Amino acid sequence: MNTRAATRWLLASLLLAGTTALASPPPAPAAQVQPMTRGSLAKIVAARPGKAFIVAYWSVGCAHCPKELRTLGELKRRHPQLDVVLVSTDTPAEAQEAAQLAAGFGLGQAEQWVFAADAPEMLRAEIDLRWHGELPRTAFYDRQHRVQAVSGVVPAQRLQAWIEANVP
Amino acid sequence: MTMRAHWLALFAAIALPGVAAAADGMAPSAAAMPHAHASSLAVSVTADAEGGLWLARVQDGQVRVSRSVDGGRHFGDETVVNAVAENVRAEGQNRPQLAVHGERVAVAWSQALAKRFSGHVRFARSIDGGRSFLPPVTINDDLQEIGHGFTAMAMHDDGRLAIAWLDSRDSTAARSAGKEWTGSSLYYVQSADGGATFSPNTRLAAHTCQCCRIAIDFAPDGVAVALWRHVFGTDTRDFAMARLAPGSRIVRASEDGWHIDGCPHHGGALHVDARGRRHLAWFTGGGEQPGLYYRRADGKRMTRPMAFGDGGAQAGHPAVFSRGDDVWLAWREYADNTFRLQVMESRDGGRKWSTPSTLASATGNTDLPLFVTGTGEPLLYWNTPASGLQLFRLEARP
Repeated sequence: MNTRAATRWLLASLLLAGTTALASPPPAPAAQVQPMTRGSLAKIVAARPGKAFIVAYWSVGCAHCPKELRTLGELKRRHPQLDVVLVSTDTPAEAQEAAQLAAGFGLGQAEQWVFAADAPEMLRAEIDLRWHGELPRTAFYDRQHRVQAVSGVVPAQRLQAWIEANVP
Repeated sequence: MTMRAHWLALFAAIALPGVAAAADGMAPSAAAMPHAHASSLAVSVTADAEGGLWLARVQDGQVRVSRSVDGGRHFGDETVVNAVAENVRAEGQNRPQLAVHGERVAVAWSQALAKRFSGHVRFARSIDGGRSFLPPVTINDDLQEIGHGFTAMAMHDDGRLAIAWLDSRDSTAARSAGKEWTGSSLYYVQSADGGATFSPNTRLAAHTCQCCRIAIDFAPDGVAVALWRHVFGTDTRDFAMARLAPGSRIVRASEDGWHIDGCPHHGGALHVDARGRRHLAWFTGGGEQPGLYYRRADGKRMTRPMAFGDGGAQAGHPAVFSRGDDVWLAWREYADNTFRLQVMESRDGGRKWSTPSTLASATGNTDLPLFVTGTGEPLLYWNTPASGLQLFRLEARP
């Protein structure tokens, strides 16, 4: 198999090793995928002062997500200034797989994160209490960082309209 | 353990070996290999007529069952159900199913195949009281590498079995023919001989949601009833229910109006009481007040949905159980970096309700709360890495 399987075996062996292993940090996700923990979203936002961007929450097991992500990939190709941050709600063990899929959607160059908490509820508590885990979930940040979040696949026309209004 | 006096904690926690902290509610990657030596957080518990409790869990791609004769304090040696390991799905919406009738032990599960979102519905049975299992069989007669999963199984008091699952054969066929198709389909089989033979694969409903657990329970007339998240119109993912019988009418079970072209990963709960009344609990993200709801359906009459749970604490994943006019609701909330197991009860068939109580809490990840099947007693279970499997006997408030 590939590196993903290797990551899983690493995780498995860490679990096997017992308390010492549990005390050590979780396996590092793929290089380009950062672990999302408490406070990560604030960092994502703070790194974009005065800029509009989209945070796209998705997972490798979400059947609806590819539809929207492919559209975002195509829009990114046409509008290189479009800033999409991908956040997978999987675990760090799935980071490599998530990165491969993202590349397939044309979003290989997008900033990527993966949930790195015991349970997704821990991160959702600070991301948005009106989000119940349904996917995809798309958060639109305007230049003032006012947020509008949408559950489910966002139609391409709506994405296009947002880009026209927010992307230089 | 903190709780109010009217809830009786029946058993101490049972530590399960090597529980993996896997995120629940998300379908695992289809291509994923089983986590070596990692035990699933998602487990199932059922009771037999002798008062024994049976536990099914997944480790190393194998379903393992064990029995407790002391009310769940200890479970005996495990029997491996599938000798050949496979990628057994074990998460919140998709866990191994277990039922026991005399010497017959029935286990059903969803197997993930290499292709994303694909799988098979698997079944294995024991005819020697769980000491050994016959080789597993695949229940879905469509063997394409496409979606067959979210397996749900129920057993009637007389040993009859019903298995329902979400199946993408119809959507696959439609797309192959260049047609549009919304959602998945719900298929089922039944067995009158404990799983030695099954009725043909039968479609109960077309256009179901693709990613929410199905709730299934037998009515006293011997016909099973299913509750599932359906797709009404183009993208309204509200609940529907129907009897698992030929020509069955599909009844809309909720009118929440949750318009979403996406995966809620949040199935409902159903308990049919001894008078045939259906108690329903579910989550919706739509309408003016998203959250948890309960309603009762007596034939065609349905009560007005009652909201419950703290929406500000991510209340979700309900379970429901009834005995006579007593009804219990259990669900999970998350606040202050802690999951809490919430319970409330009604003494009048679901009209008036107690205030919610916190039965247990846990840091780290947790399984969903579920009621033990196969018993008329309100036994609630909750599996957490921190405290192991906890069982609670809920008592009606005096």
